[in-house]
Amino acid sequence: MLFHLFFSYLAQGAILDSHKPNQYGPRGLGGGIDLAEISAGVESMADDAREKGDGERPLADEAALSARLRRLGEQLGRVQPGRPAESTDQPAASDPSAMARGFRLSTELVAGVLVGAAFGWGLDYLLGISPWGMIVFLLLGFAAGVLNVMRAAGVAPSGPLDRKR
Amino acid sequence: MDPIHQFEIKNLLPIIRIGGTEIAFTNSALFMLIALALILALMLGATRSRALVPGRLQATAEMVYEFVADTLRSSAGQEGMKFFPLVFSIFVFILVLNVIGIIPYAFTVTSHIIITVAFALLVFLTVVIYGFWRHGLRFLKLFVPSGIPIYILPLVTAIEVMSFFSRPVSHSVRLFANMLAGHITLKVFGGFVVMLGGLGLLGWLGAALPLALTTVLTALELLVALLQAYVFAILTCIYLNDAVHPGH
Repeated sequence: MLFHLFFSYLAQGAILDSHKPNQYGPRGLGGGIDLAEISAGVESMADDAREKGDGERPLADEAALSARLRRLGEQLGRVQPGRPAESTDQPAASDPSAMARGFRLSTELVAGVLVGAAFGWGLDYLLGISPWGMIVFLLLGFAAGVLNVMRAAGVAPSGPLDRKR
Repeated sequence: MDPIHQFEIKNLLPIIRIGGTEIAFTNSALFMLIALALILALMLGATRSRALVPGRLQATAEMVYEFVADTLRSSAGQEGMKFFPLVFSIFVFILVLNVIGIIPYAFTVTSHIIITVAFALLVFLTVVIYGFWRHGLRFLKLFVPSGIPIYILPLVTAIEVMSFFSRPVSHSVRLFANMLAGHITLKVFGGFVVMLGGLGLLGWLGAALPLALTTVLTALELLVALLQAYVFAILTCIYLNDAVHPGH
């Protein structure tokens, strides 16, 4: 039972290696949010404010404003799901999953750079183009490492494959 | 007192030569066999009664089964379920190896990078071979994101390829480094206790702190052992998803 509880806790996305990596992602990048819809909402809000700006019914206006604010807050919550909630949810220092997260991110970066260096060295060795393979592939590897980190941290969609979902 | 000493590979049986290769039975192999025996005992014992209302052992086995099946299904879909035996074996084997490693005097098999690299390459090659066998050259669409301007496409493709090849590295290094670092930390704090304890009364008082820390760290190590097995299995599922559905 304890075992199951523990893993269901993990499966809720307490760590980054969640099996639904694309629940993160910036707006408009496959996060399932329509940018146009949001901006339309903002515009119509501005229009409403201008129409009712003559101050005839301040009380109704305030109620409408607070309703709109609430709606905006809800929409923002949908855009960046769990953004404020998640940061307050996680206890800071003594969280072992935070350590696991840091570990994961660092290995991702190092792995990218290492693979780039290995590719560059191999090409240099095979083709005899000595510094160039290393230079180019080390940079590419660094870029791949940064991409890995961004994917692992959920700030980039987790691959060209995941765009659809 | 040497914190690295626990990772030493020792030969337990005389080395057998078959052809030009040496076959050695080491402490690593011994602990792998122990883990295998434990898993077999658990699974055979669990499936022996096949009760409708499961007993303790059967409930444990069913929980592990359902956990792995849910994880795989949610990340690789129903089509990915044909890899269930692979994922289940990897998860349970790593889990048991990690947990056995916490027992004092036991050997932690997964703290050797050659073991974790073998696991990671197994997954990596499965993804590559199955991907090409199932999808042919369409598998290469994995590296070509759609909707990218043509003048930047070669660069992006190169970066995606590097990213793909860095997977087995990070996959294996994470498990290995976590186990290695955790066990070294435990050993170092344990060493503090012994050293301070040799200094008389004041040392005894001083030794209380590292002793408490060792206790806490042991619990943390148990968590890390479970967590890393889980992470390894999850990443395996995510990578297998690429083999099953490249280019979506």
